[in-house]
Amino acid sequence: MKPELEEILPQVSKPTRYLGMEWNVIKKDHRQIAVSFALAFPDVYEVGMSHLGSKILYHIINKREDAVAERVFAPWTDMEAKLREISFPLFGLETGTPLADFDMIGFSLQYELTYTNVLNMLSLGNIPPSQAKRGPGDPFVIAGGPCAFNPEPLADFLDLVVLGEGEEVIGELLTLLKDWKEEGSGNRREFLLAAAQIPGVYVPSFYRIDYGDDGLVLNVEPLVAGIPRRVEKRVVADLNEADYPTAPIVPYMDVVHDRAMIELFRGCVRGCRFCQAGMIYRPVRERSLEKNLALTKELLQSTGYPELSLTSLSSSDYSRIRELIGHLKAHYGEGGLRMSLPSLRVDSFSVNLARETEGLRKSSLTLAPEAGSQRLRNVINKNISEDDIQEAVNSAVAGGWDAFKLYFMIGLPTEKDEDIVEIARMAEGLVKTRTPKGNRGVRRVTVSIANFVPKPHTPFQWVSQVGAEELLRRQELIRGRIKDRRVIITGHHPDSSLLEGIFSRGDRRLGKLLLAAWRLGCRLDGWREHFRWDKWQEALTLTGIDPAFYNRRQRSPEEVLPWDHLSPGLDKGFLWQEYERALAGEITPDCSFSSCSQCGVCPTLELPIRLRGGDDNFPKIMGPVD
Amino acid sequence: MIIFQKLWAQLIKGPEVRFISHLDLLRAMEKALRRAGLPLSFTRGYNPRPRISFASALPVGMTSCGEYVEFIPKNPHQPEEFKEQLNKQLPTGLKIVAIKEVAYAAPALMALINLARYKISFRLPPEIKARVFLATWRDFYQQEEVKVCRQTKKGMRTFNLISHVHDQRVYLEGDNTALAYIDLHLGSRGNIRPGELLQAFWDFAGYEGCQPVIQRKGLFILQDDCLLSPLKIEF
Repeated sequence: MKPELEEILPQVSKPTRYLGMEWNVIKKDHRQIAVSFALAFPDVYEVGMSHLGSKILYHIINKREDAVAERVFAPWTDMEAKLREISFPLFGLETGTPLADFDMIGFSLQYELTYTNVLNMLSLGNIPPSQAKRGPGDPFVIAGGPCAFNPEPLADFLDLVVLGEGEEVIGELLTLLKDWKEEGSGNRREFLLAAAQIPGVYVPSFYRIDYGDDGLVLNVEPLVAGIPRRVEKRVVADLNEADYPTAPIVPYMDVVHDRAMIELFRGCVRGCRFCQAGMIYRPVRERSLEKNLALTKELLQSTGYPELSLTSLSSSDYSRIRELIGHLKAHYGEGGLRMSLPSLRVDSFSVNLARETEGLRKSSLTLAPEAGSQRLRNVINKNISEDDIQEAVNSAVAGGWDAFKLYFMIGLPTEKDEDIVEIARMAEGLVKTRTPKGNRGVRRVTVSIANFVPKPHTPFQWVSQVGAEELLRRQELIRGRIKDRRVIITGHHPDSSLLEGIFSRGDRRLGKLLLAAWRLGCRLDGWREHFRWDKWQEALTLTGIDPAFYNRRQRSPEEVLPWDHLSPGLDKGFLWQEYERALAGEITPDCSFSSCSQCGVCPTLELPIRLRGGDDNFPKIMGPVD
Repeated sequence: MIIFQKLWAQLIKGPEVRFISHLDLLRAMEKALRRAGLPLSFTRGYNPRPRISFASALPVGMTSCGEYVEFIPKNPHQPEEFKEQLNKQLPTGLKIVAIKEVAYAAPALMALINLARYKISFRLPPEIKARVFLATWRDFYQQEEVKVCRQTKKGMRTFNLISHVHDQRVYLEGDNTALAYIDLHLGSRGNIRPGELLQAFWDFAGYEGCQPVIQRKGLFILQDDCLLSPLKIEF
């Protein structure tokens, strides 16, 4: 460790974040390596170290003999102050290599409120934030992740963006980078031109955006011949063939998800209309039972974790979930392995799975009805009934749980007061649940109320967000209806949701807002203690940007959306149709059990359409692609 | 009834892991044991915990060449084999250097150990003369009482630092580097940290040295004015 670090680490909180010597860490000599990649996560260590995608890329890059990947996270404010005080540049954790010495820096964009951290990390790494100002010696700054499906607010700062799953494209990019380095021209544009030919790669600077007098996007025009008008995302067709990290880094400190993770499947086609993940990660691809078991064995052996998370967007939808849990219990139950099932569907089947995995230890059980009334659940296509919810809770109480956490959203399209008070009614009803014998009941129901933020590439991408005062009023409406003291309501501040709403559907003109806010000291905006709404408002005034244009405006179906040229494979017509169905309160069933909903993903990505219901459900007519 | 085996081991915590907190260290050890295929027995009850315990928590930032840890494995092992297998799975900076089986009925390590020896090196300000420093050091430790206030779970508490000092010695090396060995009592009266003792000395002296490096040299059992290593006692 460098002596400067030795001296500052005792003076900062949680120094373990900055050490880079955990079990299974990979350290390579950069002098022996052709290309170096910094996996940059724009949030603190304990958040970033819980992210599966970064683990996958770390493993894939470091498997190559000619490449090295190191991790870098956003430092906490005390560490940032120390680094700036002694002018010590931000560094890769593994070898302490300064960020500017890497060939490429890849940011994982999980959440809009981490965008100022991207700028801050570049600044701490002495890298010009504006891509136009980067020269021959500077790294390429790239990004991926869910927010990369609308990276426009960051367009000024990114050399290129990768859409979709990174397993394959990362290798193609590194090989290209290696060739470009060996060739030695140092001409960045040449590299970007070649990179833009790789499917899934988007180079923002190669596109011109034309705006109308009303501020709307008129047109997105490729500036260079031979680059795609619309960039399609990348997917891994067969998860069984995909590389999976079986020897991930084991952090010392207690990170958010401190457990071994296996990814049962990718994608989710339940079709919840608010859910961006459910739209952009289609189609569903399962990993085989055999493969999951083999990966688990290696994973537990190499990490020593006593807990295994069966990860995916809706784990109880894995077609062989019962068998998997049975096998895991038979093999590892004796050794005291704990299992966790995140993202449980709300029904008694799922709760029974949780009963099997949790054993004696019962923490609180989390369920997400998302909306209080059946009408509104139909609007958002959350296809569960109040009976499902009550049965889930009955089953959980019988299984020994006495504390529940219920996730709801407010500010959903078409929401009325009568939908909102249903949240209170449901919570008050569920807290009275008792076992048939009456010997066990519910100790606590925590109702977590999130503010709905419309996201690109979802059926709600056209809607206006609900304003701050109204969101607060709706929160209070729920609070006022709660009489049972065992029901606890937790709400979120509308201001950060509204800021998230500006950026989630933002365009390139927001780059100057980001820069202004960062210069005023905004960073770690996702952390309540660092969120400075006053500074953001100052930045809005300085840059003359009207936030309502982005978050409080209903779009027309004809409008060119700033992310229309970036494609997760979905047909825009499908999204509009889903929006209309939402307004009419019509549900759309899960295509893996029912008929194809013709979202367009399988044909666009040239993947076979796999429906669990069999060939009968195969769509007779497939709509035109785009 | 199953009679479990009880193992006591001496552990080195090197500079690579000196910023790892006590709780994180404990969890790292548990994972290393699982990787090594050396399962521990678990406590009974609602929230079973693996039966591993340290004699004393080492403050964050300190290295040590003598921490002691007690294992109660699920199955009996040859102590030396246990040590070898575990060492293969321990992260850089952690190493078991000695191990011994003790009777299951032996008292808890935590209850036995009552003294910690620290080595502290630091640089004095260049203008401070050796004689002046040594005289101040002597005066400081000849005091009856050095009071500090500390926020504890039970509110503000006052400690007399000096009463916790069993013995100390200081040496001056070239370029104004001082090397101090300090033996502190551990246990029932509440523990004090060598860092706060050093800080109290700076307050007393009216100047401040820099870059203190603190190492725990070992934990001992003080008995009839003799220092015994925990692994040297027979049970």
